[in-house]
Amino acid sequence: MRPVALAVLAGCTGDVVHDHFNVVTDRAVLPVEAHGTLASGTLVLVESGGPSGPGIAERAVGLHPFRDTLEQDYVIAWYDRRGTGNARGSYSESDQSMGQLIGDLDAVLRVLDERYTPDRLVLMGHSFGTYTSALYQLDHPGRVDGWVAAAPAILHGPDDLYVPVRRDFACRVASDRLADGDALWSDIDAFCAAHPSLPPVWDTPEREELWGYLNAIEDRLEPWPALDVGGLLGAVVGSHYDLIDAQMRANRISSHIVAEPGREDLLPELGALDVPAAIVTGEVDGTTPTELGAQIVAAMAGRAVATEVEGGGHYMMVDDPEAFRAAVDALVDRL
Amino acid sequence: MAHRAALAAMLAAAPAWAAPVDRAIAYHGDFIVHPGASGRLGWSLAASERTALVLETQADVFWHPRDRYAFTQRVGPCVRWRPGAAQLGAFLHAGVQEGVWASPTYRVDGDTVRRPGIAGDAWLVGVAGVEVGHALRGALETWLIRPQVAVRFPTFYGTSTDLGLELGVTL
Repeated sequence: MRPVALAVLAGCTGDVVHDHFNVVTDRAVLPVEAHGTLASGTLVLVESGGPSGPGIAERAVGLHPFRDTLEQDYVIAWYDRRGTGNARGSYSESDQSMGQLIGDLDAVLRVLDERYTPDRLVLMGHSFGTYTSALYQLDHPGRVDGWVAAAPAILHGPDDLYVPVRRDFACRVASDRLADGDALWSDIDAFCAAHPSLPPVWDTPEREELWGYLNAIEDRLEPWPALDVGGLLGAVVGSHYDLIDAQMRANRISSHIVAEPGREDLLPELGALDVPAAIVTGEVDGTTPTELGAQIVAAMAGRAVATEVEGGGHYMMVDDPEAFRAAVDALVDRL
Repeated sequence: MAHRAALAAMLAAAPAWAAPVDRAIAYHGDFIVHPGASGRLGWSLAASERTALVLETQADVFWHPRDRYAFTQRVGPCVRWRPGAAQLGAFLHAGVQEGVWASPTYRVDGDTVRRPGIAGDAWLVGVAGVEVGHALRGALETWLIRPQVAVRFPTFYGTSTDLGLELGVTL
């Protein structure tokens, strides 16, 4: 990024930013929101989960609770992907593609660069957003300065790809809890002994049995945050966000967002990412487990640091906001 | 756009049919709290002692902060029943809405980022609503409350639904 002093812009009071603007690109109008403080020179753009999840609403409903943590030190920006949230435009469903999403992300980053001229630009992907944020960096090297991969889902395609790491996750969770006396843990432990590894194949009885265990683990252990409806209604009345559009529009994009053939698994390519990275996982998140995070750290050969949030699930930033903040702070310190 | 021209022609021709039987002004609240105003004219198509079929044309403007300034022109029938001094009705309108984004807007073409002065979009709209009112004494004829729902097309932009509430009077 350009080492230019940050500008004080409309929508800001001093260093504090509460900003809303639109990015028009390739027939889409993408709303962007930014909150936080400009003082540190660091701007973090969130690539939210999904692909159908509305990015901006994640803050309003409390799934990205950075107001008292990251927003105290950095500017955090969210945007709605085309086809989600309050995004508008003259495009059709068939215009949706992975390449289009990456192009839109590039447009949003260019505008953020133009509007704030940050000293450091960090991409923060959550879940599916880790795939697009990784793909973006592979296709546009040097455009961002750091990467946060929270609940990393760098495998995009059939869930087959997740079978081996989810097997390892279930075995680790069960092994840690055998002393509890719960029959579930001993059942999983026996399953793991019988299947020292599982191939990335969907239609097998072993995979089906494993998924049953994963559901049981989720029921017993994984914290799932409740939506902050008050915050959402406040955003509507307050009133920059259209609740009805954001929450009631049908998911008409996910089926069009498919990985380029041969790039469903980005692990083999991650060695090419030449930026510091923070890989943050939840201890009991069976969807994108720590075992997958460890593979990313290994693939990035010393440039990535892993943080496992104790007791955390898929939204570990809600489960332990301070632990999440510490992981991001440590990354920014390395930039 | 063709639909705009057609609607404009309809609106322009309407006053020639007859003198309006209704002239109304109202506060128009999008989602109640996004402020706006509306003006409406109505022409009687058929009437009996207590019921009437009125052709209405209406212009609305409202401000959804940080989202858009919306300008709407619409036309459609209203069925009205007047039991005593009360007034009840239902209406169905169709028209066009022009929206101007109320936030800074940047246009990105390749490597180029620029900020146009005005940016927005246009939609076809359908509006359905009901009205409840009562006769007044004095210069104003009737007060009216008209809750309504508007749907913008094409809807791939979203559900594109606007809930509105008008609080107004007929003159």
